Amino acid sequence: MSSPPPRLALRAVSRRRAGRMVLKPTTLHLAACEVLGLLGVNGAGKSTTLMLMAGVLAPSGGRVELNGADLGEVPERARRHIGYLPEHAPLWPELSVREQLDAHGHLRGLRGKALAAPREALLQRLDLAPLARRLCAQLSLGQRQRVGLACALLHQPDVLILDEPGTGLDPVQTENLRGLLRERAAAGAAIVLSTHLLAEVTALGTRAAILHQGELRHDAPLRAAHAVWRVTLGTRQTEPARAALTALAEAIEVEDAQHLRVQLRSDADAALLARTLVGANLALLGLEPAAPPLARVFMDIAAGRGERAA
Amino acid sequence: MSTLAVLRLELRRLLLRPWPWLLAAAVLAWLGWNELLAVGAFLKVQDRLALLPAAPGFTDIVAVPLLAQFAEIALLLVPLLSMQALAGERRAGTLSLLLAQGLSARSIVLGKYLAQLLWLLALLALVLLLPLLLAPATTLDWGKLAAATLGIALLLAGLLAVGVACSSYARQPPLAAALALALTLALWAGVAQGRAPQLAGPLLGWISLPTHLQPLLRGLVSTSDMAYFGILIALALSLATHRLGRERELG
Repeated sequence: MSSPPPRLALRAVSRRRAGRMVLKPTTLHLAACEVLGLLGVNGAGKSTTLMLMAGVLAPSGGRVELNGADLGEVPERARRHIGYLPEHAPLWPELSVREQLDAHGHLRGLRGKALAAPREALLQRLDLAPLARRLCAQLSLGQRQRVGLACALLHQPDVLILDEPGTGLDPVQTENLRGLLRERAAAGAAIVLSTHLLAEVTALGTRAAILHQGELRHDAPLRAAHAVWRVTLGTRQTEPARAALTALAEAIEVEDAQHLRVQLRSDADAALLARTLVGANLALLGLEPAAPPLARVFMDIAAGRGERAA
Repeated sequence: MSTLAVLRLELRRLLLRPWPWLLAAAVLAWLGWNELLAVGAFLKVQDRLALLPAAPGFTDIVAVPLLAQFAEIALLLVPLLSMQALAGERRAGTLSLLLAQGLSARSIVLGKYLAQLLWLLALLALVLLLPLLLAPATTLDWGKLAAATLGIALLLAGLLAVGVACSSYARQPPLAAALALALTLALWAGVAQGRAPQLAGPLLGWISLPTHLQPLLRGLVSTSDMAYFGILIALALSLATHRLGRERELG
């Protein structure tokens, strides 16, 4: 049986503007329940990439696929399957918050209860109910951001594309936003969020991609950065350590007589690894992440030293 | 369905913006004042008109000139209204919201065009009320008035299509308005052709708006005049749709 197509796929997608390549050929896949954090310095091409994913821009080369179909050939699919929050959350200023949501619902083909129920639920969930009758022109940045997010979520899309969703939000709202996005991901949505904040990505993301100068330089599961540990033993016998760690490791690689590289199972962590070795009376001299943390990868790429995605 | 959703949204926004209301109020105030002057002049010449065998009536002296004045005001009014249609959305970043819904360029252009046309036709109905309010006290030539109203409605539809097309090409609404005004004045320049036919060839005469509006204002309805406005509207809306269709490529 063939596996289902990714929710969203960029296949060698590039974008040229005014003779300049703003996004070099990029390949990315996003499956259901995945949260991809798209990172990059200013002008790296993040917003362009998101606009290509949302169908707002057409690629100069390659193709964007939504559930296996070329988005350029069936743009109306975007209506049903994609929720998009552009940068700065543009809104129609003459409309009230509730009217804004209604307008988005009508454009998506929602009517009656199919519109009213999710609209009211989102107004409550995003703490917008007290603002429902206020004109969008009078909203603060954070409030605009939440209205934009509600518009993107209104039709319960399979794919959520969010450009800087945390802009202007206070810590309580940020936590609320994270909770909401986790729920959507758990319900099967694939989420792409672009942000400058590494903490946002590590808190929410299952994968991180880093763009630099219009080129995808890093694309890896976030778990990998913390799931592989380098163990330095106090003895020159690795076999007892291997035996002790078998229950909590997916893979163990012996580097030399004193060092092991341990890939942990998803339910294990570094503390458990340390406790297991100490509990087995094995001398533990060092424990460090085998893969560099995301912040270091990001800084290296931003400085022009970093990796290149395959 | 999507055209209807865009139309509904655009109409709602038009009704909530102060700018269209201010324009409408200014137009009605100006035309109301001019109607008062025209009625005064009409009453003054009643004794002389009574001596003529086929004297012009209220429709010729008050109602149709009022509509003709509205036509001249529309040359400025329509570009000011239509400049926001797409250029305004582009500047505010809200065009990306429409494009992200997977709406076709045709739906967006048609929805916006029809909404603004409805607003202009509502204004025309209010303008028409000015002479109609005096109908019980005078004798109206209903046929001539209907033809003139049709002419103004077609003119508004044509100018609006040109305005929406200009708005689709511009990034800034004032630029869209200036472009639409320039084109509109160029089309209107046929007035000079009417006054000095030797200066303009037959083609320039045919493409000028007044060539096709004047017969309607005189009560003459012909298919060639209707076709002219139909072609103008179709051409302008096709250009707007084509430009918006390329929005995803051009960015």
